[in-house]
Amino acid sequence: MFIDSRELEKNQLLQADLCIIGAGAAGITIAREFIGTSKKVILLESGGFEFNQDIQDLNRGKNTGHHSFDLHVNRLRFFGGTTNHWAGHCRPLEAIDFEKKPWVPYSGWPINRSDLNEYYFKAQTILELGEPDYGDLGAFEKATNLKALELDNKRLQSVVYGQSPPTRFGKVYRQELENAANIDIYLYANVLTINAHPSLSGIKDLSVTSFTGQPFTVQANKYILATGGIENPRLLLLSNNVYPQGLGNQNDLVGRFFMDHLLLRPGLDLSFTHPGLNLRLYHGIHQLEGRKQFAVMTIAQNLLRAEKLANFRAHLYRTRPRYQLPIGGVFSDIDDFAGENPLKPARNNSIGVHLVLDPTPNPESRITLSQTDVDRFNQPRVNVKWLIDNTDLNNAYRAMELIALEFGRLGLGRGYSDLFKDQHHWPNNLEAGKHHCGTTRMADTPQLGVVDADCKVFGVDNLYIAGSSVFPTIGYANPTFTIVALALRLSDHIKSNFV
Amino acid sequence: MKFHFSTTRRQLSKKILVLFSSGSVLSACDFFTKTTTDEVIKTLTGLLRHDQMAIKLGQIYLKTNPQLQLLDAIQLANRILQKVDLSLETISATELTSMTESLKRRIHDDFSNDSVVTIEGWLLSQTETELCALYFLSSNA
Ligand SMILES: Cc1cc2nc3c(=O)[nH]c(=O)nc-3n(C[C@H](O)[C@H](O)[C@H](O)COP(=O)(O)OP(=O)(O)OC[C@H]3O[C@@H](n4cnc5c(N)ncnc54)[C@H](O)[C@@H]3O)c2cc1C
Repeated sequence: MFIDSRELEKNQLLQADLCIIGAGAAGITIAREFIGTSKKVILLESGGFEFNQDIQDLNRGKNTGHHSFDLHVNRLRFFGGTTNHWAGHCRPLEAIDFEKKPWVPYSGWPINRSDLNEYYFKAQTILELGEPDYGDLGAFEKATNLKALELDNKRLQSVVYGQSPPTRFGKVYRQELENAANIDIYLYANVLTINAHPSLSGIKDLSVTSFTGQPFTVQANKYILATGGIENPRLLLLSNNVYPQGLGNQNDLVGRFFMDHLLLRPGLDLSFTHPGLNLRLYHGIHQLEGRKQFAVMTIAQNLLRAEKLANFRAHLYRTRPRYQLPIGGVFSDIDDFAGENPLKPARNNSIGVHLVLDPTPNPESRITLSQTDVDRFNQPRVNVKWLIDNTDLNNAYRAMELIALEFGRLGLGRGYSDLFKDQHHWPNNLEAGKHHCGTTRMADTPQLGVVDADCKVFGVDNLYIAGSSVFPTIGYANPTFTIVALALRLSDHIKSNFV
Repeated sequence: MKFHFSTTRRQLSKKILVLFSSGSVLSACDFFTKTTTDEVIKTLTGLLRHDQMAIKLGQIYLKTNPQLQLLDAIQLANRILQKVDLSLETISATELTSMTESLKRRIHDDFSNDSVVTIEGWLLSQTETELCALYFLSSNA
């Protein structure tokens, strides 16, 4: 059932077994898992069913780091959350992404890829992905009747990506949740603080306000914070009724390790020498039976280890090339296309390689509360200090180099990158992936993270976190598939822990 | 502005004849070798298309590479040939024909072995860049 909080009486007390804060991919997934169970669930959502500029304004904040992005554009504050405008690219994290890598400080999840396999499988249905086999490039080639590049698999590999329609959680799952007798969804319900019990090590209740200012309280046995990678730490920092430094922040880790995928679109321009080169497997989305897929290039895992690099993926898109000196065709005879029409040294025979790079975790890269700016509820806004490591620049360089090397080796063309011109500075087209991660990281111990392997906040008995804020490292894959898989796992955990 | 070889085969034989008849055997050999050198250089630079662009790449490469600046076209050609185990002095007509294939392979191998250079943001094989430099040098010879 949906309830408009603006119509609640002042200071009402609402009670449930489980309270979920935030109705995005994570919150809606968990709520659905409880449909038809004996547990009463309250789902609190800051927005309504549609975009509203005044509500969206709650997402504003300041960038104070190396790179700025629009905090109020990158995430959406209404039912369905940011999935109201996500792109739907999906792939599980690789096994190596969960490992502790000695050359990557603070790397290593307390769980393995195999802990998520069954949940990824289930998440495919939720994300309307069909059942792509992410490991089977051959099947994809066969289904599309296209050939993958013969990459040197000691360097690069082609992998299959899934494409969600993309699932708009707020639309696709609205009716089902509306019909669920045990789920109450409060719209326009903005959680202000999560109040710790003064003597017990758990949460007592939540202070909530409707968008029009009616305060109310929610009490539950268990709480799940699912407000996205920036609001999750913000709410913990705001929740200081017992612990002045904020909830779960006994080791000053809440908000630290903020990271996002580093994007260069394009990071490399490939100028073909091969006039008939068919890159369609990597370019465009293929509609197959019951699923949509495309291919990307990633680094071979052995090379990643040997050279102590970071994971990355590369998409091919038609983009305006960034080079000034069009060398297209100069090397076409070398690449054995002498019989073909010589290509003009023109700009139109090129394709852009879009790089998505796994960033290095950095504790100084962090989200804090503003000392000066507040939102309409008088809550401090966020400051985002996103610091980008020099290692990332080197990793981006090598990523682009590897792709250019492979195209050269295969005799397909040559690669241009702004990074090859100046390897000490990021090109001016550096972008963020809009995947806000790391700010309540998962770890084995409270000294290294905010939540444990079950996504429970260290030191707080009944508070859990869902979303990409728990990712200690993020690999190259987009996060939502893993967010949903982790949300399913958390649901199972909570179900089995309800007494 | 392509490297021009205006001497035809017939003209060449005539010149050789004149040289021999004038008793200058040594000069004839010199001339003969020089012509061969030209042929080799022509074959090497013939691997590149778009003269102006290739020459420009070569010029930029030479500017940023003081070591290569010390070489003339013949020395650079020799250096390139050595990569495929040939030399200007001994290269035969048959070797000249197969050289093209070996060089192409060598260039693709450069990309396998990370033997590359960057020019104006382009990642190019060391060997093909030297070919560009050779084109520049020979066109200015
Ligand atoms: C343009 C764009 C394209 C993207 N494309 C992809 C893609 O292709 N693949 C991919 O994997 N990911 C993509 N993403 C990221 C993806 O959208 C997010 O990973 C995903 O939506 C996160 O889910 P979430 O539930 O953690 O957070 P959200 O979806 O952001 O949901 C959080 C919810 O919490 C609510 N909320 C916030 N604060 C409060 C509060 N105080 N009280 C109550 N409710 C609150 C918000 O209103 C919102 O509904 C994209 C993002 C953007 C911006």
